[in-house]
Amino acid sequence: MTRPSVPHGRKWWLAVPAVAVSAALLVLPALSATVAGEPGGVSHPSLSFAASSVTGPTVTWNGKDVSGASSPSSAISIQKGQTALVQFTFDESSATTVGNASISVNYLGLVLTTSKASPRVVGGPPIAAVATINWSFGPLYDALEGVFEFTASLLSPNGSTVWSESFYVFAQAPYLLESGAVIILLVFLVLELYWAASAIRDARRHAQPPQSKAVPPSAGTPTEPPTPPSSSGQGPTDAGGTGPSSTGPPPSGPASGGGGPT
Amino acid sequence: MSAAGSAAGSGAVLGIVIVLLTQQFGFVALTSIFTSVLYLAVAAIVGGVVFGVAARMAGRRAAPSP
Repeated sequence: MTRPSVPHGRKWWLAVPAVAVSAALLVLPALSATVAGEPGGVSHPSLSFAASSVTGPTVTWNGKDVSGASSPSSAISIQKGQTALVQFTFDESSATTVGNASISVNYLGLVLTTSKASPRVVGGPPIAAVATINWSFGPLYDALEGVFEFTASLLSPNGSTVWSESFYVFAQAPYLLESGAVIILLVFLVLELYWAASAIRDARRHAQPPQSKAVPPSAGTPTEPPTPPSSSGQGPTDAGGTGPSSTGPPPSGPASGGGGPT
Repeated sequence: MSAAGSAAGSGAVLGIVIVLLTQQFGFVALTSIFTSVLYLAVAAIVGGVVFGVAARMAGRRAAPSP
């Protein structure tokens, strides 16, 4: 038995906008990369000083050490419109040169935005250097929220990474609902649930047996004919009326009809 | 498209939407392209299979038993 093709309310092309908008939500951050955060970073003349290794670098996010935010569940929260002061503190000694400190946001394997700042010496020995970056999500907040992976790096003047650390930040809109992506996704959630439920309901409805053809409404007629034999008295013509139901009473019809006229 | 196929399509989109919502609500971080595609693909497949099977089962239960 083949499954029937069931026509129902859901057209296949109604899924296209849902998939398209979902894909747009994925690609949107990449398109907005030049808008978010501090554009392009600050190109200070690098304050370079010798160091053989960068020891003990610490990165703080509004005074909180980011080493405790190494997983999405322990992400640091930032509210809409808030600016975070990211501060790099590290000591240097001998041969390595640090040109910039940078912080970048990663999403879907792409770097959304990168902000840079040059370090400045604040004490020593050993040389203690500090680099600060004022970071904000920018207009991207209106479209997105959620957990993002940040990478704090110390770069040499030629751009190679001397040291890096990843941490997670939860960009949080008030009530979790002021982001456009959440609204759109919730609408899709409701619509898709409705469509899925209607498809299941249609599958159940169209799988009903075609029993309306197998059981015609004439099933109850054979019980009626026993009454007419004595009342009509015209035996041979038509005992139970007309039509196909007259074939029902043959056991009683011919017997009474044959004896009636005589 | 059959009802089961339509339900499977809705389930696949639902899976993708749910993964994106969990990212927006802070439960999942879609950081690397590999893990992101993995999460989205697995969610789409699971959603499609669950809803497709649900529609098929619903049709089968409603069908007459000989």
